[in-house]
Amino acid sequence: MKKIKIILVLIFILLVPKVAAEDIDPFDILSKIDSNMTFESAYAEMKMIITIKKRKITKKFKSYSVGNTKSFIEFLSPVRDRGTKMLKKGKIIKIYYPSAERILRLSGHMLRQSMMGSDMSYEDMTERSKELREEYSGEMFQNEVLDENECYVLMLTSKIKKQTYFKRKIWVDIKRFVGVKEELYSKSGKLVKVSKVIEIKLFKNRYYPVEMIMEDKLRKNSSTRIIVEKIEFNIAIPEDMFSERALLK
Amino acid sequence: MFSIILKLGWKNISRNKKRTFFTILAITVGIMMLVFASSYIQGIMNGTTEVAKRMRTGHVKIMTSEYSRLERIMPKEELVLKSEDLTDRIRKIDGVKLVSQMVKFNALISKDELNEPGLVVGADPGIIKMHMGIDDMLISGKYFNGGEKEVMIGRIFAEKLGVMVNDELLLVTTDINYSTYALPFRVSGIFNTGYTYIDKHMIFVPLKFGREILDCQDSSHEILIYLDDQDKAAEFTSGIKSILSEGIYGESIVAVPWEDDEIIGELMPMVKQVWQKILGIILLIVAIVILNTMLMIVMERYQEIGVLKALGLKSREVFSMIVTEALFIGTIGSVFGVLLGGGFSAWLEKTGINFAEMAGKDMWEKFDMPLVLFGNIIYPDLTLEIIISSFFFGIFISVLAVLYPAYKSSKMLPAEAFRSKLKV
Repeated sequence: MKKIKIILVLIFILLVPKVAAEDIDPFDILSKIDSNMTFESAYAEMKMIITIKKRKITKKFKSYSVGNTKSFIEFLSPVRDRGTKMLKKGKIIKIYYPSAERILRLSGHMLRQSMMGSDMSYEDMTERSKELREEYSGEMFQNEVLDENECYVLMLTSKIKKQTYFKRKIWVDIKRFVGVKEELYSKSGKLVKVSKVIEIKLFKNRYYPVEMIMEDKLRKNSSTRIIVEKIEFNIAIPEDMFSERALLK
Repeated sequence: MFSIILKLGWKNISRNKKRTFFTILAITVGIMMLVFASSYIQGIMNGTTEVAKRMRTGHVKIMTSEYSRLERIMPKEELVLKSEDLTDRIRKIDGVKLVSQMVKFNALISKDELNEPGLVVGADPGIIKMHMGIDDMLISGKYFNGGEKEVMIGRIFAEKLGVMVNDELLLVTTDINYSTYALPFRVSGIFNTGYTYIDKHMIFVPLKFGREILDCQDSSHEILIYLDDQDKAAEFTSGIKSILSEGIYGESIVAVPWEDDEIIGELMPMVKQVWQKILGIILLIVAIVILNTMLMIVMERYQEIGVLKALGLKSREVFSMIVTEALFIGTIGSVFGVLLGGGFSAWLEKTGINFAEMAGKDMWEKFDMPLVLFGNIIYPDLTLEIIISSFFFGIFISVLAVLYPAYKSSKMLPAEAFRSKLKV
């Protein structure tokens, strides 16, 4: 009898976390991350270090954003990128090129191109949990410990055949509710991209990643590190910042 | 005796005119097919090789070894440094007709709200004109002079973007330092080469603006060299190795003769093998038709042969008579086959066979693989070798076909031949 009790206790211990993980809707977790990381407005100064083979290229830029739908980015360096401005409103991205003094609206396959030579694509910038819920089906895996932090593990599988990333495996820090790692797979199961958060900081009771690295596995020996050097939340940003006029200024 | 056999053989072919006519017709059609198929295959091979030389290899191509290895993805940063100086030095070498520097890169080509990826070739307009002949393929606008920010764009590409002459296009790409750079260009002319890949994806810009976009002044991805004698390409390549290994132009610079190009040296032999197999099947069909016809004309005449033997003709003479007859029929059929097949091929050599029209424009334009440089018009190439080999093939098969029945009938006793069930 005692043995049976021990076995039952063991089964209970083993099953409880699994059942708990399976009960959670993965999209609720993603929505929570979105709301956790979305501030009313934000101003940030960042740098992007692109490493390709033995070369390292550093690009500096500043960004203004309102919610998670509107953002304005201006590149400050290097010289050839200085003055390049990017406006994102929902799914629409417009870029101003100072060398041509023209604005280009990105569409179709262009969204899948590398963003300013980095491992990140323009499409990667526009994704939100709401769209993920519509386009993917999700399941929860057994929790994992990643860099000493317990994480939910989510697996999203596309409902659409022609999806750029057919499967996405996401690790979410349970305590801080921040996505800390993501692996993106093609339909054939090939690992296409990996992104990982290196550093997370606390801002006004909310955790926010300030350093991350992304690797485009289709580019040989390539990675892009994004570092937030300065960030201010809930600042006043004029509405015309998110207009074509601001791009041309 | 030999002249009698000859006369008898000649006379025999006019004895049954209907039979002779159909036998000659079978050989004529077979040889005609053979001449045309051989000319057509020769035309495809030559056409593809010539276009590859004009558009991508020159007679000798200089590039970095890494660019050569990854040519299909066109790595932007793989540049031949100080290429102006290298070009000047090569120009001074005896036997060099033309030297062309090029930058090649993938870019986004945008007009208003539409944008399409394209392959941009930056080269000297004068040189593009001389070795690619793009100026002769203009369907609208004028050839660019290189001084202005002007482009030449392929017909299908222009249609996709809805571009007309004088419209503005924006070229956007990542330069060699991974900065995104854009320049506006005016469309100077629209060309139609008849090669789907070129017309669908290519855009020519003056070299200096191509370099400006990439931020690579005085460097090129490729240097194409055209020689007075293309057969000396391999010899020329070894001759310039010392210049390339000086280290001034980059760490690992290679020169590749046109024979070693990916299309000409690797793909074309494979294509040739496929065509040779098709030609082998055609040869087999032609041979079977001739064999069958020749066999029948001997076998149906066993009784006649029996009469000749009863009249005192020796076995050797019967054998020679049948072979002579086959020789005459084979020669006549082959002459007509070569004349008709040769004439047809020679006519198509001038007019060409328009596959785009035959397959339908939309279907044809789907075939746009970069390495398949098959034009929409194939021009057969009739050579003396094809004429002679087809002519003798016709005679050889005709004679070969009758050897066994001729031998068999020559050995028959007259009584056996009379009993033969095969009758006319």
